[in-house]
Amino acid sequence: MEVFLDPNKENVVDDPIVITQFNISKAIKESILVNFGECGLASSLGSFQVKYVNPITKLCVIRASREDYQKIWSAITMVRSIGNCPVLFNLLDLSGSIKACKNAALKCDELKFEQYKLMVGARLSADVTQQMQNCLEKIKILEH
Amino acid sequence: MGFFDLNIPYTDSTPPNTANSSAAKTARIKIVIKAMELGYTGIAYNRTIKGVMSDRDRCSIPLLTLSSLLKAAPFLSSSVNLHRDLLGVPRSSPFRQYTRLTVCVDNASQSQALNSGNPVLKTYDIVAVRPFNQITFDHACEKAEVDIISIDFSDRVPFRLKLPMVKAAIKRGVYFEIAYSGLIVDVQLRRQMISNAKLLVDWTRGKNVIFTSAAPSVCEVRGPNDVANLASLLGLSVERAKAAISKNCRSLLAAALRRKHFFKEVIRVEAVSSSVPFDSGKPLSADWLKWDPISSGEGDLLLDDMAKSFSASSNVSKTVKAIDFDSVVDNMPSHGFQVKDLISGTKTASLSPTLLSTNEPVEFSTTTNQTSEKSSTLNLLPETDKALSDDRPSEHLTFIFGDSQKLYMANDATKALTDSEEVVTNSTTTKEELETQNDSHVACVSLETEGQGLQSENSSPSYEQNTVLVNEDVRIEASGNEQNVALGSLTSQDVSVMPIENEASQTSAMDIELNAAIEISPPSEDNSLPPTQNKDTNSSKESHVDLGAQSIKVDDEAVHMDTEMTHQENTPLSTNNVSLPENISERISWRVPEDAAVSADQISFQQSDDEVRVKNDSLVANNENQVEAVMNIPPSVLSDPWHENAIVREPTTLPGDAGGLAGSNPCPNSDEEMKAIDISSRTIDEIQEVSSEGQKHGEHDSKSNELTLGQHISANSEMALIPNLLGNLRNTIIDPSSLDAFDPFKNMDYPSVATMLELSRLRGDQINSAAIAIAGPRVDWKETSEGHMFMAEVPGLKKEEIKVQIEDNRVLQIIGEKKVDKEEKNDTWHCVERSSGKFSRRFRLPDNAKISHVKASMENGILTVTVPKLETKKPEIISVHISG
Repeated sequence: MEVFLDPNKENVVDDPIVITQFNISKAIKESILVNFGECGLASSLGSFQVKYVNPITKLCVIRASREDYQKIWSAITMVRSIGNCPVLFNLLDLSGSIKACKNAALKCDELKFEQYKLMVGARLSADVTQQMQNCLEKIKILEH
Repeated sequence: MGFFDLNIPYTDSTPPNTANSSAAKTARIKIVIKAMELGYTGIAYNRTIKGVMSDRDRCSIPLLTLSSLLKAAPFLSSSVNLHRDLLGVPRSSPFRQYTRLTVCVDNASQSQALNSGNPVLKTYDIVAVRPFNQITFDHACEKAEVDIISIDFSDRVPFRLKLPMVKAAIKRGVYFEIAYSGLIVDVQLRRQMISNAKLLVDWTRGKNVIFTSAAPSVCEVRGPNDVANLASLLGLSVERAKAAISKNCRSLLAAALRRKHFFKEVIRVEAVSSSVPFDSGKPLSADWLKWDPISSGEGDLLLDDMAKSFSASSNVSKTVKAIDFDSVVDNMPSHGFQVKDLISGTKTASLSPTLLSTNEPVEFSTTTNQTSEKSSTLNLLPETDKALSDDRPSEHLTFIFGDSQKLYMANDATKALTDSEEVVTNSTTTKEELETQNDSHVACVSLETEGQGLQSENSSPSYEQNTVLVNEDVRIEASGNEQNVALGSLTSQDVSVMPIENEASQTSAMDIELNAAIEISPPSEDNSLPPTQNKDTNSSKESHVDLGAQSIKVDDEAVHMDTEMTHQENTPLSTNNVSLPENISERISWRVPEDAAVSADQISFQQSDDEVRVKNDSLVANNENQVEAVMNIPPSVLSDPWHENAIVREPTTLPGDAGGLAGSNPCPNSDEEMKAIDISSRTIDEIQEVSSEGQKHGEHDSKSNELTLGQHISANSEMALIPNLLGNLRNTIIDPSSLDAFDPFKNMDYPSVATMLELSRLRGDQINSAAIAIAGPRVDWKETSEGHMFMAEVPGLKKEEIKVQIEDNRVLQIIGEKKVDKEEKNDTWHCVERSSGKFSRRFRLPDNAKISHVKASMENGILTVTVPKLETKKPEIISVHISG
C-alpha cells in the first residue's frame, strides 16, 4: 500500500520538512490513536510499518494488515500535518502483496521524479539524481 | 467514470473586497488544482445564501480558466495524468466546472421559493437546499425543486430524518450530501458527523448519497479513493462509497443539467449560430453521439489543452467545452496588465552607488485584451561619470506625482571639488521611446527635479537631490482634454537621466524654473538641426519673450544651440542607449550660461516618427547648460495637434564665479516648426524673472531678463519658449546662483556641483521656487520689529572661514569654505558623509534693511547675521481745512 504525500501549497519546490520514515509513522500512529483509540492502535501496530519513504518524490510505502488496512487508511487520510507542516495523504495504489506493491511503487516513483525534474528545471543536481537512484534501489530490495 | 466533488465553497465577493476576494480566489484556485491533481474530473462551486432570495443571487460565479490554473501550477498536466491513470480515469476526459447554489431555508415561505419557475435557480447548474427544521426538510424531500439536500452533520441535526421522507426524496431523485471535510478538520466534529451521518446512510442504504468535500482550504481535500474509504467509516460499503463520489454525482449532474437546459426536460433549446449553415444532409444523430449528458456547456477544461498550453508555455487562456463550443468570455481579470511601480526599482538602485540602469517593464492595463504587445519599458539610466560612479554617494529620492504613470528617476548628486575652475555640469538625458499603436498618442514627460539641500547627520550641508521624472502618457482626445491620462495609450519610454557632476563653489538655494513649451511638429530628416535661436543671457538686457505674440521674441539673447554635443568630454553621455529605428533624432543642445542655471523646459513635441526619443541633456559645463534633446516622435502624432510632449526640465546649476549669466534659455530647433501649445496660466506664473545680480557679467541685468508671457501661447505660433529664468530675486529670497559645493571627492577629475534638477510637469504643480533651497547651510531668517536675523548653521567652520558680505547694497552673501582634511594617500575612507568645500548663500535683503549696520556673530556653529531695519518714516499728514 502506498501513500502519496503532498505537502501542500506552500512548498512547491522547497520543502519545509524532510519526510522520513520516522515522522510519517509517528504522525500516522497519532492519528490512529485519536481516531481508533488504544485498542485500534494496539491491534494495528503489529502490522503497521512505513516501509519506504522517498523524500524527493514524497512517495512512501506503508504496510498494514489485511484486517486493519481500512482503519489505518482512514487514519492516514485524516492526518493533517507532520510536525507543523500541513500535509495531504493520497493513496496511489493499494496492493495485496509486496511484489505488486514494488512494481507500482517503482512506476509511480519514476513518474513522480519526472514531474519533479520538470518542476525543478535546471536546478536539478547530481546529488538528487544519485539519491533518487538509491531510493529506487531501495524499493527493489523491499521485502515483506 | 470520473470523480466529482460537488462542493467547492465559493465565497461571495459582493461587495468586492479586494483583499478578501483575491485571497478567496487564490484559495479556490488551489483547491481546484488539487482536486484536479487528485484525479477529480468535475467540481462545482458552491455558493451558499441565507434568507430571502433576490435577483442579486443570480449566478455570478466565475469559472476558472485553464490559464489561471496553469499559472498557479505550471506542471499540472503531468501530475493529473499520473493520477488519472492510477484511478482509471481516461486522460482525455474533460475537467468540468459547475455552479451550485445552496439555499438555507428555515421557514416555509423560503422553501416555497424553491420551485421550478424560479429564474434565479435556473442560473445555477445545481441547486441544493439546506433545511433547518422539520417542515423545510419535509418540503425539501417531497416537493422542492432541488437536486441536493445538504445536511450539516457536523452540528446537531435540527430535525428527524424520517424514513418516509428520505424515501420520497430518493424516489424523486434528490440526493443527500455528506461533506467530509468535517471528518478531517476536527476531532469533535468527526464524532458528531459520524454519528449523524450514519443515520442517514442507514435510511438511504447508501443510495442517493453523494460525498463532497466542502473544503475550506486545500488541506481538506482528499483523493477519491481516500474519500471512499472514509465513507466506509460511515457504514457505506465500498461500492456505494465509490458511487457516492462518482456515479451518483454523475447522474445528479445529468438530471440537473437536463432541467436547466431543457424544456420540459426533454427538448434542448440551443442557440444556433447563424454563421454555421445548417447542413441538412448530415444526420442529426451525429451530434447526438457526441452528446455528453453531464456537460454544463461551459467550464469544461480539457486535459489535452492543458498539456498543449503547457507545452506552449503560453498564458493564453483557453476555455474548452465538451460540447457547446461557445466562446466564453474570459472574465478573469488575469488579462489585466500589471503596472509596476517603478519606485521599487529606483529605490533598490539607489542603494548602489553605481547606478547604471534600472529597467522596469511597465505594462498597462488596457481596455482590450489584445494590447499585450504594448509595453513600455522605462529605462532609468542615471549615469554618472565613471570616475565618480564608484565612490560617490548618491542619494535618490523619489516623489510621487500625479495619477498617471510616474517615473521616478534617481539622480545622483555628486559633489566634487576641484581646485580648478568651478564647473557646473548638469546633464539630463531623457530618452523617450514612444511606440504607439494609435495615432492619438501623447506623451508628456515632465521632469521635475528638485534639489534640496539637506543636512546630513553631521548637520553638515550635503546634497540630496530629488529627481523626479514623471512620465505621463497623456492621451489627449480630440477634445484636447489633457486630463485624459489614458493608460490605454501606451508608450514605451526609455527615460534615462544622467545627472552629471556638478561642481560649484558657491552654494545657495536656487529656484530655477524654466518653462519652455516647445511644440515641434514634423521633424525633418536631419539628424541634427541647427539651432534656430540662440539666447545668450549675458546680453539679456532685453530679453522679453512675448508669448502672447505667437512668436517668441528673444531679444539680445544668444542661445547657443549645438547640434553636437560639445560637452561630451565632461559628460559621459555615451551611456545613452538609444536605439531608434527610423527615427529622426534631433539634438538640441542649449548652451545656457551658468547663472541661468535654471531651466525648466516644457517641450511639447509633435513629430511624425515612429518613435519618440527625447534626449535632454542639460549640461552645464563651464557655465554652460547644454541641452540635448533627441526627439523622435511618431508620425501619427503629427496629425493630431493635441499631442504633446511636455518636458519640463529644471536643471539648476550655478557656479558662482562663472558668472554673470543669469537665465538659461532653452532653444527650440530651428528647422522645426514649433507651435506653442496652450500654456496654462500657471506656467506663466512659473516664469520667473532672471536676476543676474551678483554675477560678474556686468551687462547682465536682471530686470531685463524678465520674460513676459501672454496668457496663452497660441497654438499656431511657430515656437513658444517659456523659459522660467532663475528666480526673481525680488520675490524670492533665494538666489539662484548660489550653489552648494561641498564635495567630498576632491580628487575627482570632474568637479561636481550639487545639481538640482527639477523636472516638473507642465500641468505644473506650482512650485514655489523660493521655498526650495538647494544646498548650503541651513539658514533661518527671522524678521523682528528691529530687524532681520539670519541664522545659518555652519558647524565645523571657524569664523575665519566664513565671509559675510553684502553685494550691491542689496544682497547678503554668506560664503564659506570648509577645508578638507588632510588626506593621506594610504588612508582608507569607509564613510564620507561630511561635506567640505565651498558654499554660498545669498539673500536679497528687503528695502528697509539698514545695510550699514549689519552685524554678524558666531557661536556654537551658528552664524547669526543681524540686519537692522530702517525706521520707516511715517508719511506726514497735514490736514487742510476746507473752507467754504
